Amino acid sequence: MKSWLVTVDKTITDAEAFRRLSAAGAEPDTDADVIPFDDAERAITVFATASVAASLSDVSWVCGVFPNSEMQPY
Amino acid sequence: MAGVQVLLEVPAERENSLEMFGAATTSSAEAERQASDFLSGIGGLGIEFDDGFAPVPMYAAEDTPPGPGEFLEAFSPRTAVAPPTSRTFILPAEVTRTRLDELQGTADVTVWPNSQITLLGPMRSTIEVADSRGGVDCRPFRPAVELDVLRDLLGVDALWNSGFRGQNIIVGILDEGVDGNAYPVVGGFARPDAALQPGAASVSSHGSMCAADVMVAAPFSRLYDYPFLGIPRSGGALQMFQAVLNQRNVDGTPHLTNNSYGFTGVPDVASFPNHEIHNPNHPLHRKVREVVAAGVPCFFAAGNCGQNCPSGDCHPSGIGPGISIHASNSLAEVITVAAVNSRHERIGYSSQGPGMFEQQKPDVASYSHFFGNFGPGRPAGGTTDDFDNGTSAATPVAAGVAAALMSANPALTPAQLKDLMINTSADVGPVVGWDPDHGHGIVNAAAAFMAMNPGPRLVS
Repeated sequence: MKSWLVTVDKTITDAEAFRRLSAAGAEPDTDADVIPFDDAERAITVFATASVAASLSDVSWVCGVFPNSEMQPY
Repeated sequence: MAGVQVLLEVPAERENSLEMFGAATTSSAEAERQASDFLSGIGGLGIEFDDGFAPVPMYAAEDTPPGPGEFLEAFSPRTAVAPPTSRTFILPAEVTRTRLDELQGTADVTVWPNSQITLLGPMRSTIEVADSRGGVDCRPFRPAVELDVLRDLLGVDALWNSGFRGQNIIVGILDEGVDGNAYPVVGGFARPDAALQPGAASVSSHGSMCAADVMVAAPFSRLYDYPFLGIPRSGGALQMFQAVLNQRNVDGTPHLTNNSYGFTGVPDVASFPNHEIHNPNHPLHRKVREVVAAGVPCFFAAGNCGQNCPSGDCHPSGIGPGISIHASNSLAEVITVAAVNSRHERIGYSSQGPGMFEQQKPDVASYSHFFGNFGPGRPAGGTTDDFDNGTSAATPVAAGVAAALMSANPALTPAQLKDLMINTSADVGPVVGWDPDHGHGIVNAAAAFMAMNPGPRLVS
């Protein structure tokens, strides 16, 4: 499974977002904090297959699904 | 007008050039009139002349210096020989970047750099004179230099002699961790259960190198350690930037951040449209923008995938001009740093613009290849074959200059700091102004400090 950053609507609690993500087949990364944004969203790190990540993009309470890609020191 | 300081050379054959210059120096209206006359063919929109400027006549052709004695009689007051007819006039001006591009393509105008000149004090070192047009340093690289050479090149004494060495400034190092025994780590962030806590990394870590390199120009600054490259993903960086915001909300620190990391290949946009490199609205980039908007300048390394001698980590999809500066490192809001050596030669692996988000990247260049953390007698030790390198090293050198400037003026906003460092950078490279190899030029602490604190004029 790959790591993804899923941004969700701020009106949903963290616990509810975690529950819904798990139900959809994505595993929230409990070692990563939920990151707030000013514009009514929060980012949650999850582990999921590419197909699950793609299906999350169509869910109404999900604002966006983004890769959590590996970086390198320069 | 936030523009570029240049000298415009325009053709103007005038027999009375000495009188013209005399008149222009005593009357600003006359100077303006002359300038308008010279520019009548190309228009003056987007060109602003310096206060108290006077057009300067030039007599000899660009590539033909006057022969011995040729001008001696002509400029002697005791001969009847008339002064020579001018060939061109030079106009010092500030031009908008749009106009600069246009002027450089105009046949009747030559655009020259008008770089800030610093009064030189005693130097610590002997500096090898560089070719101002810049060259490329590629494998085998030129030998690394001592810290004192960099300090002289940066002109840090201008700040240090006024008491500004980065004190009261905290620099956040987002990297793989810093050794708190070797460097002044006073805080940072890691989850309580994280394997690596602030200050606990080894002295040979990449983060410790960055810490050492901040100290080049700002030895009294202190550091926050944000060790995220143990989980080298954008989500890890996202966590750390949020920690920066949280701390900022508590006590206004850190004052700036250093970011010497990024991606080393460009995935296909059709297959990966949401990848960090292609989507400017990726959460990491949005968070970086928030951090800058909160008043924290963010320095990012350009990358090590320049076309001449790219790092072995680089994928062919991300090597060379236009494809090697990307993701957060190419955001308009950040300060993106390329690498040059002490001879002002671009180091061949330094990534090249245009940037993939903001086109005009890198913003500036700074120095790499020196004995900072690594090398004989340095904290991490080693031989002369071991030295601080990469745009990773160049970036904290620039961040250290910023820290020293901010200790002189803590009210500098990120935008003001960026403009200051860009506008006072030493222009190198084949064209006047920005170029994709060096950005606007090489950072210079003395020039920036002088621009920030203009002293009394030598001649009033």
